[in-house]
Amino acid sequence: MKKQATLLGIVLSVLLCFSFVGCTNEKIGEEEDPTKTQLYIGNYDGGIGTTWLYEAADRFEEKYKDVCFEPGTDKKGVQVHVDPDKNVYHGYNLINNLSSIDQQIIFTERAYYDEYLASGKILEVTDAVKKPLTEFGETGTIEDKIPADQKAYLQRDGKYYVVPFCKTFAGIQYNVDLWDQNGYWILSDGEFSTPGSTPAEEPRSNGPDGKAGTYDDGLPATYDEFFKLCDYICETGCVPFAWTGQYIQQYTGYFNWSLYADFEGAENMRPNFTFAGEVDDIVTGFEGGVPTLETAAITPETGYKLHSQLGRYYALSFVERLMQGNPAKKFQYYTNKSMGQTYSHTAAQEDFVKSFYEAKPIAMLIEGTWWENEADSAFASAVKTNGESASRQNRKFGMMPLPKATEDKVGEPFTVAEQYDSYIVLNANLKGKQDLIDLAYLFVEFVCSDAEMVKFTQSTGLPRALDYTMSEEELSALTYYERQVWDINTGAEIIYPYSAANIYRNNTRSLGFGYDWEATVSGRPYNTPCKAMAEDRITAQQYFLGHAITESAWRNLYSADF
Amino acid sequence: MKHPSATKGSVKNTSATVFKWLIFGLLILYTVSLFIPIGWGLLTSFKSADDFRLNVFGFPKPFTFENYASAFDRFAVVTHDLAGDLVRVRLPMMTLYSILYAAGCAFFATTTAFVTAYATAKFPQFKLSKVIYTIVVVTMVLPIVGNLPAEINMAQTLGFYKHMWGIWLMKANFLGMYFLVFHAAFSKLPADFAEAAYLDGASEFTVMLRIYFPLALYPYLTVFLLNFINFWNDYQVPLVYIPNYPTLAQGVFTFSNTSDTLYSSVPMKIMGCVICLLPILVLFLAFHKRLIGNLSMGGLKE
Amino acid sequence: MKRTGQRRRRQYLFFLALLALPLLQFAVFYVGVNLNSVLLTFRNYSYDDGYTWVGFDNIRRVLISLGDSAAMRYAIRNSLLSYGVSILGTALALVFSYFIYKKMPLAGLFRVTLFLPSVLSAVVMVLLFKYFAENAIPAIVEAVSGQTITGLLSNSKSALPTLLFYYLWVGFGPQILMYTGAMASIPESAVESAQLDGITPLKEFWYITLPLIWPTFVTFVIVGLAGLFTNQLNLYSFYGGGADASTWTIGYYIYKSATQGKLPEYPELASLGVLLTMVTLPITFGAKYLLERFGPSTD
Repeated sequence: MKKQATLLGIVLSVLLCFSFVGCTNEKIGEEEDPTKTQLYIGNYDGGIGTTWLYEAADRFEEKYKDVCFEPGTDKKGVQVHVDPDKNVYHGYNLINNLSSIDQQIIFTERAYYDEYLASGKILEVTDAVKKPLTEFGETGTIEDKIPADQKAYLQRDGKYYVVPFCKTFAGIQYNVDLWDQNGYWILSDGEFSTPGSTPAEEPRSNGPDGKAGTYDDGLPATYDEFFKLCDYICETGCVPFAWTGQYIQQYTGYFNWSLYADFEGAENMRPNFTFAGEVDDIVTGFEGGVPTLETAAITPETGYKLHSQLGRYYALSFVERLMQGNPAKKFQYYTNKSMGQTYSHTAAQEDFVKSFYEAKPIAMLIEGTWWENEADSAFASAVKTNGESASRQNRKFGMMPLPKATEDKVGEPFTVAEQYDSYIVLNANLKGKQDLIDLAYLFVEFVCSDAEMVKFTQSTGLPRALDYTMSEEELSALTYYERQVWDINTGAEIIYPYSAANIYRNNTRSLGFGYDWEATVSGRPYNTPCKAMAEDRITAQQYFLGHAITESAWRNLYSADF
Repeated sequence: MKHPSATKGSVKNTSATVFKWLIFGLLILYTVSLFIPIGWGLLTSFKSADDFRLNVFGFPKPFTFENYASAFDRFAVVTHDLAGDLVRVRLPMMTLYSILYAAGCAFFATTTAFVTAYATAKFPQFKLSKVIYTIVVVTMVLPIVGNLPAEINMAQTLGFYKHMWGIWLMKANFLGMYFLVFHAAFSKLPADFAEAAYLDGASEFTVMLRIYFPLALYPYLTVFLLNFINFWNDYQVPLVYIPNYPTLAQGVFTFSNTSDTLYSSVPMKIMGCVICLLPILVLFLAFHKRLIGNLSMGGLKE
Repeated sequence: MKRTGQRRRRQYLFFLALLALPLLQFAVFYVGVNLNSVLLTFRNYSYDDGYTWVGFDNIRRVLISLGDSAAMRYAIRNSLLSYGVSILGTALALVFSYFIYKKMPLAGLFRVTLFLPSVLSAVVMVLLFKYFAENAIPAIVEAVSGQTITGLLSNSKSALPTLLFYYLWVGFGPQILMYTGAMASIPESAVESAQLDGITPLKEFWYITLPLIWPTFVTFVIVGLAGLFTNQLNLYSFYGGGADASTWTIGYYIYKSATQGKLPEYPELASLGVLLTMVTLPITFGAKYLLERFGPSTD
């Protein structure tokens, strides 16, 4: 036993010696300049990255280099320290970490507003939100730029505690190069385009918005057209769809919600969050496969009826057709990898980018608008093998407005949902330091000025979650895809799946947008419609009926918040 | 007693032999099933990301050490140290932190359970012993939800947060199955062992330290090893409570969690795992013979 | 008489001295940290009103949900199945340990391989196994039969059996370590005299080995039972929060819901936990009592 302990001791000391070779940790932070006021900023370093913030911080330092922020001292100017991190500044981690970090301003994602408020660790920002931005040559306030839905949710007793940050959507991403190359555009006569043709040579159909000359021209307008296109994609030897198999439930589940939201439109969708209002399309049953409808007033007590809203049925029927493929022609509309647990979202992005140069190009990807930024290194490695034309700047991708379920819906605006809970928060560690609070407010106002938001979009390709416009000249800096995202940002109807309703705020896990799409069919529980349909050949109707919830079950779950 | 008859004995022996070889076959199968994925993992760590995308199971073509090379280069965690300065922590320091974390936590966790089990097993006459035993079982049965913020809060309030000794003390609890293992081990040791010592006037403390602890040294070391391995591989707890001391496991997690696809490819991930694994594998292979089975020194011989 | 009393007092002081620090630690880092979580069973939380006492209302709701929900029925079934597999694992671990203890061919190698999964981190094992079940096995099946199948963990029909297999496959380590250790501590004299009597290996196992390792065995059975409704069956490691509803166990459901949920959603989960604890505890202690009372004895 002694010998053994000695040996263990030797091994551990050898390892220790090895460790001490590296002895100290290299300091990498910027040295503090004692002649300047210090501002510490944390940034969640996810898909959006941190480059834009470094740039903004430099501009801020430059603009205020001669201003004194701490009266009574001889400090002049401000030194901004930017700290990117993937762990500390995210969602719940941030709540847990806020009181032990130095950072005063944090750009974060998945920040559950009510949880942040309940923690008491963030600082009120009302003064910054309601102050006219005259400093930056504007007359309005940040509040004026906050969309109404957001305002209703964020404002508590007239006070604000966060500022909306970034805006992202999810849906179908498509490879525009492939559309051009294989002629997947739908022409105004209903035929597919000739490979390589331009809209000038062959006029394209109006797309789902029913209007000519918009970003969706030539794209399928209805489910029928969409699946006809899928057949055509298969015929040309390509694969219509890919999505991540590893996160299949989250990604396809979110996609179902997108279909649902687009079908319903903002007005009919909003009761899902507010639990107030009236909807006219609650399914009471099916007669010969056709749903029968009723109009219902929605309150917290009758919220269960929304589980039977028509849009959910159509979303499911889209998924059903997608999973079914075309048995007659033996076409499958998705790659087998997408049903596998080892197919990560980055692997799917990589295939989507690189398959264009391989035997079976993938035409569409189910993803969020951040995907192109996230796939940056996939583009870089594609350039290595395929040359400069494969770069992110040169490739063309688009985000496809969802096709409409029925002919009569064509022309209704594309409705997308934002839900990334992405905010700017101020750390309560600033409490009592009025000079620093004022400086932090100023920085928040600075990054919410129109000029800075334009620069943000040019740097990241994503819209900020506030209202602002960009000129054609400013937009020219964007990639083809980023431009499409901007077009959707301005052209589509955006709903914010938040509300101040108690029942919704207190039950976001089960009621929140994008979560489980659960159903019970023949006694078996399901939570991923596309899997149920692929594996057990469950029909949309079966799934829809199994997804409905009874009044008593609803009451049991949520009556505390009625 | 002899076997009743020779024939019956041979029948028995045959079935015993069949059974023996059946188990042998099962174990061979098990070993093979274990080594194939591990071998595959090792091979994969020598593949480039593109090679892996198109060639999941074949041999690497070509063999590349790029993953390892770039790991030593890139394998670093940026964090704030105790003074709040931004620092970059590299492989050697991560190894040191791993050792401090795993050995320290394993020592405190094992010893606390060991001592508590001794007290409750040797003094069953006190009511508290039964209470503690019940507590251990109840806490094993009871799932706790949403206690993380409260735990972090407690660590911060007591000043344990971001300190190595702090996490050691947080791990110094007696809950969990190893308490039961020790309890069983101590209960098994007969009380008369100590009687002679008591008659010689030895104190309770001497009896515990000189007589009982050596007898239970084997389970102690075994549990220490198991705990050590667990803490070595654990990245979640250090990430939350000692972010300023990034361990190897945490390094691997950070490394594979980057949004840069070049570094989050499966070969890279597996390579990270291999780096994390090697020290502990060597340790295990060096000591398994002494730790498993060979008990003449610590067990209940005679 | 007086001396015994004195000794008892001294013992009691010593006993308390040993336990003082562990109990303090327990009071702070278990009771202090978790009390609120357990109390949530009888409370509700809403962002506007904070905490309110609701008595047994949460428990009542959970009971109704358990009856209502197919997912919960499946989860209970799967938890029980997992326990069945853990019993099988214990039986196999016993047999394997005996095999190693008896120094059968390649015993040294098996001792290492059986413990190996416990050395590798769960992250690595899950990754390796996932690639195998998902990519290698379908490839092999396709090569042999020409049929295309989805990965074993992806297809919800094969997912549960695969998870149960994995649970068994990686779970031998600690038990093997404990059993072989306990077996090796069996006095050789006892074994030798029995062998002189011509005892068969089976009988030796039954009458000599098993009784001596019985306390260790009972411990593992108790541990398995205690974990009946906290066992996640590695679902979170494999799927994160997105496992198919037909594969959930109660432990997984509570864990994943708690990680996705927010303050107002904890009471329901806490109540489910407490409710199931009320069921599991008597079973666990009952089993312990029976196993110790009627198990083989060393005498």
